[in-house]
Amino acid sequence: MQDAPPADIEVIGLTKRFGRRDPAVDDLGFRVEPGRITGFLGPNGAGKTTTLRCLLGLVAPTSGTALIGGTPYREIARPTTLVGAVLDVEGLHPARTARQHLMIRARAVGIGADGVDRTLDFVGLADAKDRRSGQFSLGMRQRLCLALALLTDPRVLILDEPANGLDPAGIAWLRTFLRGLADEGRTVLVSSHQLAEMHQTVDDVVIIDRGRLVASGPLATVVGTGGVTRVSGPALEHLAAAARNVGATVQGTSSDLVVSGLTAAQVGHLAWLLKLEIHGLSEDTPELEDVFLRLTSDRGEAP
Amino acid sequence: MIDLVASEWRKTFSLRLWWIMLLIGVVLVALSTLPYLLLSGVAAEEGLNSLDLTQPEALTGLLSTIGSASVVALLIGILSFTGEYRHGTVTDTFLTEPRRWKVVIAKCIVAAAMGVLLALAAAVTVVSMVVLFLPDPHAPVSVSAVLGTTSGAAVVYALYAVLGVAVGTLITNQLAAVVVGILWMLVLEGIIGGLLPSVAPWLPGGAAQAVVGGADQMSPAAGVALLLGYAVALAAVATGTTLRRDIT
Ligand SMILES: Nc1ncnc2c1ncn2[C@@H]1O[C@H](COP(=O)(O)OP(=O)(O)OP(=O)(O)O)[C@@H](O)[C@H]1O
Ligand SMILES: [Mg+2]
Repeated sequence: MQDAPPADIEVIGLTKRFGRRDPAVDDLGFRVEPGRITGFLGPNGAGKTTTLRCLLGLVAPTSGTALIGGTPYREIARPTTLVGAVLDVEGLHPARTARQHLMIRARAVGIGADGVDRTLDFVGLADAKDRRSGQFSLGMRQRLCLALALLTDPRVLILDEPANGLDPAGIAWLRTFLRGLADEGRTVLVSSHQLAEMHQTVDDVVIIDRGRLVASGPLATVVGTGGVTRVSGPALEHLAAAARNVGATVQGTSSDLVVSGLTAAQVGHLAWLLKLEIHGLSEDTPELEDVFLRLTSDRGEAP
Repeated sequence: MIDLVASEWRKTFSLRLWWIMLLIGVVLVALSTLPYLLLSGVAAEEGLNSLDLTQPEALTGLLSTIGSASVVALLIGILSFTGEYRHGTVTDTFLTEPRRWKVVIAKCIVAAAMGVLLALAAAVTVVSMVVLFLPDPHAPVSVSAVLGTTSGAAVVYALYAVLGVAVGTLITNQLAAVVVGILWMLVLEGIIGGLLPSVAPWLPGGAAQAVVGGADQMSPAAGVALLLGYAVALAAVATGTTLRRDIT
Protein backbone atom coordinates (compact mmCIF):
# COMPACT_ATOMS: atom_id res chain seq x y z
CA MET A 1 0.00 0.00 0.00
CA GLN A 2 2.73 2.46 0.97
CA ASP A 3 4.17 2.66 -2.54
CA ALA A 4 0.98 2.23 -4.50
CA PRO A 5 -0.30 5.37 -6.19
CA PRO A 6 -3.75 6.58 -5.15
CA ALA A 7 -6.71 5.70 -7.34
CA ASP A 8 -9.86 7.73 -7.72
CA ILE A 9 -13.36 6.73 -8.75
CA GLU A 10 -15.05 8.36 -11.71
CA VAL A 11 -18.63 7.88 -12.79
CA ILE A 12 -19.39 9.48 -16.15
CA GLY A 13 -22.84 9.74 -17.70
CA LEU A 14 -23.85 6.45 -16.11
CA THR A 15 -27.29 5.17 -17.02
CA LYS A 16 -28.79 1.82 -16.09
CA ARG A 17 -32.21 0.75 -17.20
CA PHE A 18 -33.66 -2.56 -15.98
CA GLY A 19 -36.01 -3.72 -18.71
CA ARG A 20 -38.49 -1.10 -19.79
CA ARG A 21 -38.76 0.65 -16.45
CA ASP A 22 -37.60 4.16 -15.64
CA PRO A 23 -33.83 4.19 -15.39
CA ALA A 24 -32.55 3.10 -11.98
CA VAL A 25 -29.50 5.29 -12.63
CA ASP A 26 -29.92 8.22 -14.95
CA ASP A 27 -26.98 10.06 -16.53
CA LEU A 28 -25.12 10.09 -13.25
CA GLY A 29 -21.70 11.67 -12.91
CA PHE A 30 -19.43 12.26 -9.96
CA ARG A 31 -15.85 11.81 -8.82
CA VAL A 32 -14.53 10.34 -5.60
CA GLU A 33 -11.17 11.63 -4.40
CA PRO A 34 -8.42 9.58 -2.81
CA GLY A 35 -7.61 10.36 0.81
CA ARG A 36 -11.19 11.29 1.66
CA ILE A 37 -14.30 9.54 2.84
CA THR A 38 -17.18 10.10 0.45
CA GLY A 39 -20.73 9.46 1.57
CA PHE A 40 -23.07 8.18 -1.13
CA LEU A 41 -26.55 9.16 -0.07
CA GLY A 42 -30.04 8.82 -1.42
CA PRO A 43 -33.45 7.54 -0.33
CA ASN A 44 -34.51 3.90 -0.81
CA GLY A 45 -34.48 2.95 -4.45
CA ALA A 46 -32.42 5.99 -5.43
CA GLY A 47 -29.98 3.79 -7.32
CA LYS A 48 -27.04 3.64 -4.91
CA THR A 49 -26.60 -0.12 -5.00
CA THR A 50 -27.09 -0.20 -8.75
CA THR A 51 -24.40 2.46 -9.19
CA LEU A 52 -21.96 0.60 -6.97
CA ARG A 53 -22.63 -2.67 -8.79
CA CYS A 54 -21.98 -0.94 -12.14
CA LEU A 55 -18.75 0.37 -10.67
CA LEU A 56 -17.77 -3.18 -9.70
CA GLY A 57 -18.56 -4.79 -13.04
CA LEU A 58 -21.47 -6.81 -11.69
CA VAL A 59 -24.11 -4.83 -13.57
CA ALA A 60 -23.56 -3.76 -17.15
CA PRO A 61 -24.46 -0.09 -17.62
CA THR A 62 -26.95 0.77 -20.36
CA SER A 63 -24.64 3.65 -21.20
CA GLY A 64 -21.84 5.65 -19.65
CA THR A 65 -18.78 4.47 -17.78
CA ALA A 66 -17.58 3.87 -14.29
CA LEU A 67 -13.84 3.88 -13.71
CA ILE A 68 -11.62 3.00 -10.79
CA GLY A 69 -8.13 4.41 -11.08
CA GLY A 70 -9.02 5.28 -14.67
CA THR A 71 -9.91 1.68 -15.64
CA PRO A 72 -13.22 -0.17 -15.77
CA TYR A 73 -13.35 -2.80 -13.02
CA ARG A 74 -13.62 -5.64 -15.50
CA GLU A 75 -10.33 -4.65 -17.10
CA ILE A 76 -8.33 -4.44 -13.88
CA ALA A 77 -5.96 -7.37 -13.41
CA ARG A 78 -6.70 -8.97 -10.03
CA PRO A 79 -9.23 -6.25 -9.20
CA THR A 80 -9.62 -7.29 -5.58
CA THR A 81 -6.06 -6.25 -4.90
CA LEU A 82 -6.99 -2.70 -5.92
CA VAL A 83 -10.60 -2.53 -4.79
CA GLY A 84 -12.23 -3.93 -1.67
CA ALA A 85 -16.00 -4.05 -1.75
CA VAL A 86 -18.77 -4.93 0.65
CA LEU A 87 -22.07 -5.31 -1.18
CA ASP A 88 -24.47 -7.56 0.59
CA VAL A 89 -24.04 -9.71 3.62
CA GLU A 90 -26.30 -12.36 2.09
CA GLY A 91 -23.60 -13.49 -0.32
CA LEU A 92 -21.96 -15.80 2.21
CA HIS A 93 -22.47 -19.55 2.08
CA PRO A 94 -23.89 -20.35 5.52
CA ALA A 95 -21.98 -23.62 5.82
CA ARG A 96 -18.55 -22.08 5.42
CA THR A 97 -16.57 -20.83 8.38
CA ALA A 98 -15.23 -17.30 8.55
CA ARG A 99 -11.75 -18.58 7.82
CA GLN A 100 -12.92 -20.63 4.85
CA HIS A 101 -14.59 -17.59 3.30
CA LEU A 102 -11.35 -15.65 3.54
CA MET A 103 -9.18 -18.56 2.41
CA ILE A 104 -11.20 -18.87 -0.80
CA ARG A 105 -10.52 -15.21 -1.57
CA ALA A 106 -6.92 -15.48 -0.39
CA ARG A 107 -6.24 -18.42 -2.70
CA ALA A 108 -7.55 -16.45 -5.65
CA VAL A 109 -5.03 -13.65 -5.10
CA GLY A 110 -2.15 -15.60 -3.64
CA ILE A 111 -2.37 -14.49 -0.01
CA GLY A 112 -1.28 -16.82 2.78
CA ALA A 113 -3.11 -18.06 5.83
CA ASP A 114 -1.39 -15.60 8.19
CA GLY A 115 -2.91 -12.69 6.25
CA VAL A 116 -6.31 -14.31 6.70
CA ASP A 117 -5.90 -14.61 10.46
CA ARG A 118 -4.59 -11.08 10.82
CA THR A 119 -7.56 -9.65 8.91
CA LEU A 120 -10.06 -11.64 10.98
CA ASP A 121 -8.42 -10.39 14.17
CA PHE A 122 -8.52 -6.86 12.86
CA VAL A 123 -12.27 -6.85 12.26
CA GLY A 124 -12.92 -8.37 15.65
CA LEU A 125 -13.74 -11.92 14.61
CA ALA A 126 -10.74 -13.54 16.30
CA ASP A 127 -12.95 -15.80 18.40
CA ALA A 128 -15.32 -16.75 15.58
CA LYS A 129 -12.85 -17.82 12.91
CA ASP A 130 -13.91 -21.42 12.78
CA ARG A 131 -17.62 -20.92 13.23
CA ARG A 132 -19.96 -21.29 10.28
CA SER A 133 -21.13 -17.91 9.05
CA GLY A 134 -24.71 -19.20 9.03
CA GLN A 135 -24.61 -18.85 12.81
CA PHE A 136 -23.36 -15.27 12.67
CA SER A 137 -25.40 -12.23 13.66
CA LEU A 138 -25.96 -9.53 11.05
CA GLY A 139 -23.20 -7.43 12.60
CA MET A 140 -20.76 -10.33 12.56
CA ARG A 141 -21.55 -11.05 8.93
CA GLN A 142 -20.99 -7.37 8.19
CA ARG A 143 -17.58 -7.62 9.85
CA LEU A 144 -16.80 -10.77 7.89
CA CYS A 145 -17.64 -9.01 4.64
CA LEU A 146 -15.40 -6.14 5.69
CA ALA A 147 -12.63 -8.64 6.35
CA LEU A 148 -13.11 -10.00 2.82
CA ALA A 149 -12.83 -6.48 1.42
CA LEU A 150 -9.77 -5.61 3.49
CA LEU A 151 -7.90 -8.88 3.02
CA THR A 152 -5.93 -7.59 0.05
CA ASP A 153 -5.08 -4.21 1.56
CA PRO A 154 -6.89 -2.38 -1.27
CA ARG A 155 -6.41 1.25 -2.20
CA VAL A 156 -10.09 1.74 -2.94
CA LEU A 157 -12.93 0.72 -0.66
CA ILE A 158 -16.52 0.58 -1.78
CA LEU A 159 -19.02 -0.17 0.95
CA ASP A 160 -22.77 -0.49 0.52
CA GLU A 161 -24.52 0.24 3.82
CA PRO A 162 -21.67 -1.08 5.96
CA ALA A 163 -23.22 0.27 9.15
CA ASN A 164 -26.26 -1.99 8.79
CA GLY A 165 -26.46 -4.33 11.73
CA LEU A 166 -23.53 -2.83 13.62
CA ASP A 167 -24.06 -1.83 17.24
CA PRO A 168 -23.07 1.70 18.36
CA ALA A 169 -19.62 0.48 19.36
CA GLY A 170 -19.30 -1.19 15.98
CA ILE A 171 -20.30 1.98 14.17
CA ALA A 172 -17.79 4.01 16.15
CA TRP A 173 -15.15 1.40 15.30
CA LEU A 174 -16.13 1.52 11.62
CA ARG A 175 -15.89 5.30 11.60
CA THR A 176 -12.46 5.38 13.20
CA PHE A 177 -11.13 2.75 10.91
CA LEU A 178 -12.55 4.35 7.73
CA ARG A 179 -10.89 7.57 8.81
CA GLY A 180 -7.61 5.73 9.26
CA LEU A 181 -7.88 4.26 5.78
CA ALA A 182 -8.63 7.63 4.20
CA ASP A 183 -5.73 9.22 6.07
CA GLU A 184 -3.45 6.65 4.48
CA GLY A 185 -4.49 8.03 1.10
CA ARG A 186 -7.08 5.43 0.23
CA THR A 187 -10.30 6.18 -1.57
CA VAL A 188 -13.37 5.39 0.50
CA LEU A 189 -16.90 5.42 -0.91
CA VAL A 190 -19.64 4.54 1.56
CA SER A 191 -23.35 4.44 0.93
CA SER A 192 -25.56 4.74 3.96
CA HIS A 193 -28.87 5.66 5.41
CA GLN A 194 -27.30 6.55 8.73
CA LEU A 195 -27.22 10.24 7.95
CA ALA A 196 -26.39 11.38 11.45
CA GLU A 197 -23.46 8.98 11.41
CA MET A 198 -22.44 10.15 7.97
CA HIS A 199 -22.34 13.75 9.06
CA GLN A 200 -19.64 12.89 11.56
CA THR A 201 -17.78 10.59 9.24
CA VAL A 202 -17.59 11.91 5.72
CA ASP A 203 -15.54 14.59 4.01
CA ASP A 204 -17.48 14.66 0.76
CA VAL A 205 -21.01 13.72 -0.16
CA VAL A 206 -22.70 12.56 -3.34
CA ILE A 207 -26.46 12.78 -3.04
CA ILE A 208 -28.68 11.08 -5.60
CA ASP A 209 -32.42 10.72 -5.99
CA ARG A 210 -34.27 8.64 -8.56
CA GLY A 211 -30.98 7.82 -10.22
CA ARG A 212 -29.97 11.45 -10.74
CA LEU A 213 -27.31 13.53 -9.08
CA VAL A 214 -28.79 16.04 -6.65
CA ALA A 215 -25.67 17.44 -5.04
CA SER A 216 -22.02 16.57 -4.66
CA GLY A 217 -18.92 18.08 -3.18
CA PRO A 218 -17.30 18.69 0.18
CA LEU A 219 -19.74 18.25 3.05
CA ALA A 220 -19.32 21.84 4.23
CA THR A 221 -20.15 23.21 0.79
CA VAL A 222 -23.17 21.01 0.21
CA VAL A 223 -24.58 21.59 3.67
CA GLY A 224 -23.59 25.29 3.52
CA THR A 225 -25.55 25.95 0.35
CA GLY A 226 -28.54 24.51 2.09
CA GLY A 227 -28.32 27.26 4.74
CA VAL A 228 -31.50 28.94 5.90
CA THR A 229 -31.51 32.54 7.08
CA ARG A 230 -34.38 34.04 9.06
CA VAL A 231 -34.88 37.77 8.92
CA SER A 232 -37.53 40.01 10.47
CA GLY A 233 -38.36 43.72 10.05
CA PRO A 234 -41.34 45.99 9.47
CA ALA A 235 -41.43 45.95 5.66
CA LEU A 236 -39.35 43.34 3.84
CA GLU A 237 -41.13 43.05 0.45
CA HIS A 238 -38.17 44.57 -1.40
CA LEU A 239 -35.73 42.35 0.42
CA ALA A 240 -37.74 39.28 -0.58
CA ALA A 241 -37.73 40.39 -4.22
CA ALA A 242 -33.99 41.12 -4.12
CA ALA A 243 -33.23 37.72 -2.57
CA ARG A 244 -35.30 35.97 -5.23
CA ASN A 245 -33.42 37.96 -7.85
CA VAL A 246 -30.12 36.48 -6.71
CA GLY A 247 -31.57 32.98 -6.85
CA ALA A 248 -32.65 32.33 -3.27
CA THR A 249 -35.92 30.70 -2.25
CA VAL A 250 -37.99 32.97 -0.01
CA GLN A 251 -40.91 32.03 2.17
CA GLY A 252 -42.88 33.84 4.88
CA THR A 253 -44.65 37.18 5.35
CA SER A 254 -43.46 40.67 4.65
CA SER A 255 -42.30 41.02 8.25
CA ASP A 256 -40.75 37.56 8.68
CA LEU A 257 -38.82 35.90 5.89
CA VAL A 258 -37.14 32.54 5.62
CA VAL A 259 -34.46 32.73 2.94
CA SER A 260 -32.88 29.49 1.78
CA GLY A 261 -29.66 29.58 -0.14
CA LEU A 262 -28.16 32.74 1.36
CA THR A 263 -26.07 33.23 4.48
CA ALA A 264 -26.96 35.76 7.17
CA ALA A 265 -24.15 37.98 5.93
CA GLN A 266 -25.51 37.93 2.40
CA VAL A 267 -29.06 38.75 3.53
CA GLY A 268 -27.76 41.50 5.83
CA HIS A 269 -25.79 42.95 2.95
CA LEU A 270 -28.87 42.99 0.72
CA ALA A 271 -30.87 44.77 3.43
CA TRP A 272 -28.10 47.32 3.85
CA LEU A 273 -28.04 47.97 0.09
CA LEU A 274 -31.80 48.48 0.15
CA LYS A 275 -31.59 50.66 3.28
CA LEU A 276 -34.18 48.52 5.05
CA GLU A 277 -34.86 48.38 8.76
CA ILE A 278 -34.00 44.95 10.23
CA HIS A 279 -35.11 43.70 13.64
CA GLY A 280 -33.72 40.19 13.61
CA LEU A 281 -31.29 38.21 11.52
CA SER A 282 -30.23 34.62 12.19
CA GLU A 283 -28.82 31.69 10.30
CA ASP A 284 -29.69 28.06 10.94
CA THR A 285 -26.84 25.73 10.25
CA PRO A 286 -28.64 22.73 8.86
CA GLU A 287 -27.92 19.16 9.61
CA LEU A 288 -26.94 16.92 6.73
CA GLU A 289 -30.23 15.18 7.32
CA ASP A 290 -32.24 18.38 6.69
CA VAL A 291 -30.30 19.14 3.54
CA PHE A 292 -30.75 15.60 2.39
CA LEU A 293 -34.48 15.62 2.96
CA ARG A 294 -34.92 18.99 1.31
CA LEU A 295 -32.78 18.16 -1.71
CA THR A 296 -34.32 14.78 -2.29
CA SER A 297 -37.92 15.83 -1.80
CA ASP A 298 -37.71 18.84 -4.14
CA ARG A 299 -38.00 16.86 -7.30
CA GLY A 300 -41.35 15.48 -8.32
CA GLU A 301 -43.36 17.97 -6.31
CA ALA A 302 -45.49 20.51 -8.09
CA PRO A 303 -43.53 23.77 -8.25
CA MET B 1 -5.65 -18.87 -13.67
CA ILE B 2 -3.85 -21.26 -11.33
CA ASP B 3 -4.87 -19.11 -8.39
CA LEU B 4 -8.44 -19.11 -9.59
CA VAL B 5 -8.43 -22.89 -9.86
CA ALA B 6 -6.94 -23.11 -6.37
CA SER B 7 -9.72 -20.85 -5.11
CA GLU B 8 -12.40 -23.01 -6.77
CA TRP B 9 -10.76 -26.09 -5.35
CA ARG B 10 -10.95 -24.60 -1.87
CA LYS B 11 -14.55 -23.61 -2.51
CA THR B 12 -15.47 -27.18 -3.39
CA PHE B 13 -13.79 -28.85 -0.47
CA SER B 14 -15.00 -26.35 2.13
CA LEU B 15 -18.48 -27.84 1.75
CA ARG B 16 -19.69 -31.34 2.47
CA LEU B 17 -21.38 -31.51 -0.90
CA TRP B 18 -18.34 -33.04 -2.62
CA TRP B 19 -18.30 -36.21 -0.58
CA ILE B 20 -22.08 -36.47 -0.56
CA MET B 21 -21.87 -36.54 -4.35
CA LEU B 22 -19.07 -39.12 -4.25
CA LEU B 23 -21.16 -41.19 -1.87
CA ILE B 24 -24.15 -41.09 -4.20
CA GLY B 25 -21.88 -42.15 -7.05
CA VAL B 26 -20.42 -45.00 -5.03
CA VAL B 27 -23.87 -46.27 -4.01
CA LEU B 28 -25.01 -46.10 -7.62
CA VAL B 29 -21.97 -48.08 -8.77
CA ALA B 30 -22.37 -50.64 -5.98
CA LEU B 31 -26.01 -51.15 -6.92
CA SER B 32 -25.00 -51.69 -10.55
CA THR B 33 -22.66 -54.51 -9.56
CA LEU B 34 -25.35 -56.38 -7.64
CA PRO B 35 -27.07 -58.04 -10.62
CA TYR B 36 -23.75 -59.66 -11.57
CA LEU B 37 -22.82 -60.75 -8.08
CA LEU B 38 -26.28 -61.98 -7.09
CA LEU B 39 -27.49 -63.51 -10.34
CA SER B 40 -24.30 -65.10 -11.67
CA GLY B 41 -25.32 -68.60 -10.53
CA VAL B 42 -28.83 -68.34 -11.93
CA ALA B 43 -27.49 -66.84 -15.14
CA ALA B 44 -25.13 -69.78 -15.57
CA GLU B 45 -28.03 -72.23 -15.26
CA GLU B 46 -30.09 -70.23 -17.73
CA GLY B 47 -27.14 -69.88 -20.12
CA LEU B 48 -27.24 -66.07 -19.82
CA ASN B 49 -23.62 -65.25 -20.67
CA SER B 50 -23.81 -61.55 -19.98
CA LEU B 51 -24.34 -62.15 -16.24
CA ASP B 52 -22.56 -65.50 -15.90
CA LEU B 53 -19.27 -64.57 -14.27
CA THR B 54 -17.54 -67.69 -15.52
CA GLN B 55 -17.74 -65.96 -18.91
CA PRO B 56 -15.11 -63.24 -19.62
CA GLU B 57 -17.89 -61.18 -21.22
CA ALA B 58 -19.82 -60.95 -17.93
CA LEU B 59 -16.67 -60.08 -16.00
CA THR B 60 -15.99 -57.21 -18.38
CA GLY B 61 -19.59 -56.10 -17.81
CA LEU B 62 -19.07 -56.22 -14.05
CA LEU B 63 -15.93 -54.07 -14.26
CA SER B 64 -17.63 -51.63 -16.60
CA THR B 65 -20.00 -50.66 -13.77
CA ILE B 66 -17.10 -48.45 -12.65
CA GLY B 67 -18.37 -46.16 -15.38
CA SER B 68 -22.05 -46.29 -14.45
CA ALA B 69 -22.24 -43.02 -12.51
CA SER B 70 -22.00 -40.51 -15.36
CA VAL B 71 -25.17 -38.82 -14.16
CA VAL B 72 -23.45 -38.07 -10.85
CA ALA B 73 -20.48 -36.57 -12.68
CA LEU B 74 -22.87 -34.39 -14.66
CA LEU B 75 -24.57 -33.28 -11.43
CA ILE B 76 -21.22 -32.42 -9.81
CA GLY B 77 -20.63 -30.04 -12.69
CA ILE B 78 -24.15 -28.65 -12.62
CA LEU B 79 -24.00 -27.86 -8.89
CA SER B 80 -20.75 -25.96 -9.26
CA PHE B 81 -22.22 -22.78 -10.75
CA THR B 82 -25.87 -23.12 -9.81
CA GLY B 83 -24.90 -23.45 -6.15
CA GLU B 84 -23.20 -20.07 -6.36
CA TYR B 85 -26.28 -18.46 -7.82
CA ARG B 86 -28.44 -20.13 -5.22
CA HIS B 87 -26.40 -18.93 -2.27
CA GLY B 88 -25.48 -15.54 -3.70
CA THR B 89 -21.76 -16.31 -3.53
CA VAL B 90 -21.57 -15.57 -7.23
CA THR B 91 -21.27 -11.86 -6.34
CA ASP B 92 -18.04 -12.53 -4.51
CA THR B 93 -16.83 -14.86 -7.24
CA PHE B 94 -17.34 -12.28 -9.98
CA LEU B 95 -15.80 -9.55 -7.83
CA THR B 96 -12.71 -11.72 -7.53
CA GLU B 97 -12.64 -12.45 -11.26
CA PRO B 98 -14.89 -10.17 -13.32
CA ARG B 99 -13.83 -11.89 -16.55
CA ARG B 100 -16.51 -14.45 -16.01
CA TRP B 101 -15.40 -16.93 -18.66
CA LYS B 102 -12.24 -17.48 -16.63
CA VAL B 103 -14.38 -18.56 -13.72
CA VAL B 104 -16.14 -21.01 -16.02
CA ILE B 105 -12.82 -22.51 -17.07
CA ALA B 106 -11.57 -22.75 -13.49
CA LYS B 107 -14.81 -24.49 -12.52
CA CYS B 108 -14.43 -26.90 -15.44
CA ILE B 109 -10.94 -27.83 -14.34
CA VAL B 110 -12.01 -28.47 -10.75
CA ALA B 111 -15.14 -30.35 -11.85
CA ALA B 112 -13.04 -32.52 -14.15
CA ALA B 113 -10.76 -33.34 -11.24
CA MET B 114 -13.83 -34.25 -9.20
CA GLY B 115 -14.87 -36.52 -12.07
CA VAL B 116 -11.53 -38.32 -11.87
CA LEU B 117 -11.98 -38.63 -8.11
CA LEU B 118 -15.40 -40.13 -8.69
CA ALA B 119 -13.91 -42.70 -11.06
CA LEU B 120 -11.31 -43.66 -8.46
CA ALA B 121 -14.00 -44.01 -5.79
CA ALA B 122 -16.07 -46.11 -8.20
CA ALA B 123 -13.09 -48.33 -9.00
CA VAL B 124 -12.35 -48.89 -5.31
CA THR B 125 -16.01 -49.74 -4.78
CA VAL B 126 -16.21 -52.25 -7.63
CA VAL B 127 -12.89 -53.87 -6.75
CA SER B 128 -14.01 -54.21 -3.12
CA MET B 129 -17.28 -55.77 -4.19
CA VAL B 130 -15.39 -58.16 -6.44
CA VAL B 131 -12.87 -59.13 -3.74
CA LEU B 132 -15.62 -59.68 -1.18
CA PHE B 133 -18.42 -61.21 -3.16
CA LEU B 134 -17.13 -62.65 -6.44
CA PRO B 135 -18.65 -66.15 -6.63
CA ASP B 136 -16.44 -69.10 -7.57
CA PRO B 137 -15.83 -70.31 -10.17
CA HIS B 138 -15.28 -67.19 -12.26
CA ALA B 139 -13.37 -65.97 -15.26
CA PRO B 140 -9.92 -64.47 -14.52
CA VAL B 141 -9.83 -60.86 -13.29
CA SER B 142 -6.94 -58.94 -14.81
CA VAL B 143 -5.43 -55.87 -13.21
CA SER B 144 -4.95 -54.28 -16.58
CA ALA B 145 -8.67 -54.64 -17.30
CA VAL B 146 -9.47 -52.85 -14.02
CA LEU B 147 -6.99 -50.08 -14.79
CA GLY B 148 -8.25 -49.71 -18.36
CA THR B 149 -11.88 -49.49 -17.29
CA THR B 150 -11.02 -47.04 -14.52
CA SER B 151 -9.08 -44.70 -16.75
CA GLY B 152 -11.88 -44.82 -19.32
CA ALA B 153 -14.40 -43.94 -16.62
CA ALA B 154 -12.13 -41.14 -15.37
CA VAL B 155 -12.06 -39.52 -18.79
CA VAL B 156 -15.82 -39.92 -19.26
CA TYR B 157 -16.63 -38.56 -15.80
CA ALA B 158 -14.26 -35.62 -16.25
CA LEU B 159 -15.97 -34.80 -19.54
CA TYR B 160 -19.46 -35.16 -18.08
CA ALA B 161 -18.50 -32.92 -15.16
CA VAL B 162 -17.29 -30.29 -17.63
CA LEU B 163 -20.52 -30.69 -19.56
CA GLY B 164 -22.37 -30.19 -16.25
CA VAL B 165 -20.54 -26.93 -15.60
CA ALA B 166 -21.65 -25.75 -19.03
CA VAL B 167 -25.25 -26.79 -18.35
CA GLY B 168 -25.19 -24.94 -15.02
CA THR B 169 -23.69 -21.87 -16.65
CA LEU B 170 -26.56 -21.82 -19.11
CA ILE B 171 -29.36 -22.81 -16.72
CA THR B 172 -28.52 -20.90 -13.56
CA ASN B 173 -31.54 -22.06 -11.59
CA GLN B 174 -30.22 -25.01 -9.60
CA LEU B 175 -33.40 -27.05 -9.44
CA ALA B 176 -34.16 -26.54 -13.12
CA ALA B 177 -30.63 -27.49 -14.16
CA VAL B 178 -30.61 -30.60 -11.97
CA VAL B 179 -34.00 -31.73 -13.28
CA VAL B 180 -32.94 -31.15 -16.88
CA GLY B 181 -29.67 -33.00 -16.29
CA ILE B 182 -31.29 -36.04 -14.69
CA LEU B 183 -34.16 -36.14 -17.19
CA TRP B 184 -31.74 -36.03 -20.06
CA MET B 185 -29.46 -38.76 -18.76
CA LEU B 186 -32.11 -41.17 -17.54
CA VAL B 187 -35.03 -40.58 -19.90
CA LEU B 188 -34.70 -38.21 -22.83
CA GLU B 189 -31.45 -39.44 -24.28
CA GLY B 190 -32.80 -42.98 -24.34
CA ILE B 191 -36.03 -41.95 -25.99
CA ILE B 192 -34.29 -39.86 -28.64
CA GLY B 193 -31.77 -42.62 -29.29
CA GLY B 194 -34.61 -45.12 -29.59
CA LEU B 195 -36.62 -43.02 -32.00
CA LEU B 196 -33.65 -41.95 -34.10
CA PRO B 197 -31.07 -44.75 -33.97
CA SER B 198 -28.85 -42.99 -36.47
CA VAL B 199 -28.56 -40.00 -34.14
CA ALA B 200 -27.85 -42.00 -30.97
CA PRO B 201 -24.07 -42.38 -31.47
CA TRP B 202 -23.77 -38.62 -31.78
CA LEU B 203 -25.50 -37.83 -28.50
CA PRO B 204 -23.36 -37.36 -25.37
CA GLY B 205 -24.04 -40.93 -24.29
CA GLY B 206 -22.85 -42.22 -27.66
CA ALA B 207 -19.74 -40.10 -27.42
CA ALA B 208 -19.07 -41.48 -23.94
CA GLN B 209 -19.40 -45.00 -25.38
CA ALA B 210 -16.83 -44.13 -28.00
CA VAL B 211 -14.45 -42.77 -25.34
CA VAL B 212 -14.28 -46.18 -23.66
CA GLY B 213 -13.85 -47.84 -27.04
CA GLY B 214 -17.37 -49.18 -27.33
CA ALA B 215 -18.44 -47.55 -30.59
CA ASP B 216 -17.85 -48.65 -34.16
CA GLN B 217 -18.18 -45.34 -35.96
CA MET B 218 -16.14 -43.21 -33.58
CA SER B 219 -12.63 -43.42 -32.16
CA PRO B 220 -12.07 -42.67 -28.45
CA ALA B 221 -10.39 -39.38 -29.38
CA ALA B 222 -13.38 -38.39 -31.48
CA GLY B 223 -15.65 -39.25 -28.54
CA VAL B 224 -13.64 -36.96 -26.27
CA ALA B 225 -13.79 -34.21 -28.87
CA LEU B 226 -17.54 -34.62 -29.32
CA LEU B 227 -18.30 -34.47 -25.57
CA LEU B 228 -16.02 -31.45 -25.19
CA GLY B 229 -17.75 -29.95 -28.21
CA TYR B 230 -21.12 -30.21 -26.49
CA ALA B 231 -19.68 -28.50 -23.40
CA VAL B 232 -18.04 -25.75 -25.46
CA ALA B 233 -21.24 -25.16 -27.43
CA LEU B 234 -23.36 -24.83 -24.29
CA ALA B 235 -20.77 -22.62 -22.62
CA ALA B 236 -20.59 -20.43 -25.72
CA VAL B 237 -24.35 -19.92 -25.68
CA ALA B 238 -24.14 -19.15 -21.95
CA THR B 239 -21.34 -16.63 -22.50
CA GLY B 240 -23.59 -14.68 -24.82
CA THR B 241 -26.65 -14.96 -22.56
CA THR B 242 -26.91 -16.04 -18.91
CA LEU B 243 -23.27 -15.51 -18.04
CA ARG B 244 -23.55 -11.83 -18.96
CA ARG B 245 -26.55 -11.23 -16.76
CA ASP B 246 -26.47 -8.48 -14.17
CA ILE B 247 -25.72 -9.70 -10.69
CA THR B 248 -28.08 -7.67 -8.50
N1 LIG C 1 -32.42 -6.55 -10.84
C1 LIG C 1 -33.29 -5.53 -10.92
N2 LIG C 1 -34.34 -5.61 -11.77
C2 LIG C 1 -35.22 -4.61 -11.87
N3 LIG C 1 -35.15 -3.48 -11.16
C3 LIG C 1 -34.13 -3.32 -10.30
C4 LIG C 1 -33.16 -4.35 -10.13
N4 LIG C 1 -32.27 -3.93 -9.20
C5 LIG C 1 -32.67 -2.70 -8.82
N5 LIG C 1 -33.79 -2.33 -9.46
C6 LIG C 1 -34.51 -1.05 -9.33
O1 LIG C 1 -33.61 0.00 -9.46
C7 LIG C 1 -33.92 1.04 -8.58
C8 LIG C 1 -32.70 1.39 -7.76
O2 LIG C 1 -32.44 0.34 -6.88
P1 LIG C 1 -31.14 0.33 -5.93
O3 LIG C 1 -31.13 -0.97 -5.23
O4 LIG C 1 -29.97 0.71 -6.74
O5 LIG C 1 -31.47 1.50 -4.91
P2 LIG C 1 -30.73 1.89 -3.55
O6 LIG C 1 -30.45 3.33 -3.63
O7 LIG C 1 -29.59 0.99 -3.31
O8 LIG C 1 -31.87 1.61 -2.49
P3 LIG C 1 -31.75 1.16 -0.95
O9 LIG C 1 -31.42 2.37 -0.17
O10 LIG C 1 -33.12 0.67 -0.64
O11 LIG C 1 -30.73 0.09 -0.87
C9 LIG C 1 -35.11 0.57 -7.77
O12 LIG C 1 -36.26 1.14 -8.33
C10 LIG C 1 -35.11 -0.90 -7.95
O13 LIG C 1 -36.42 -1.41 -7.90
MG1 LIG D 1 -29.10 -0.38 -1.76
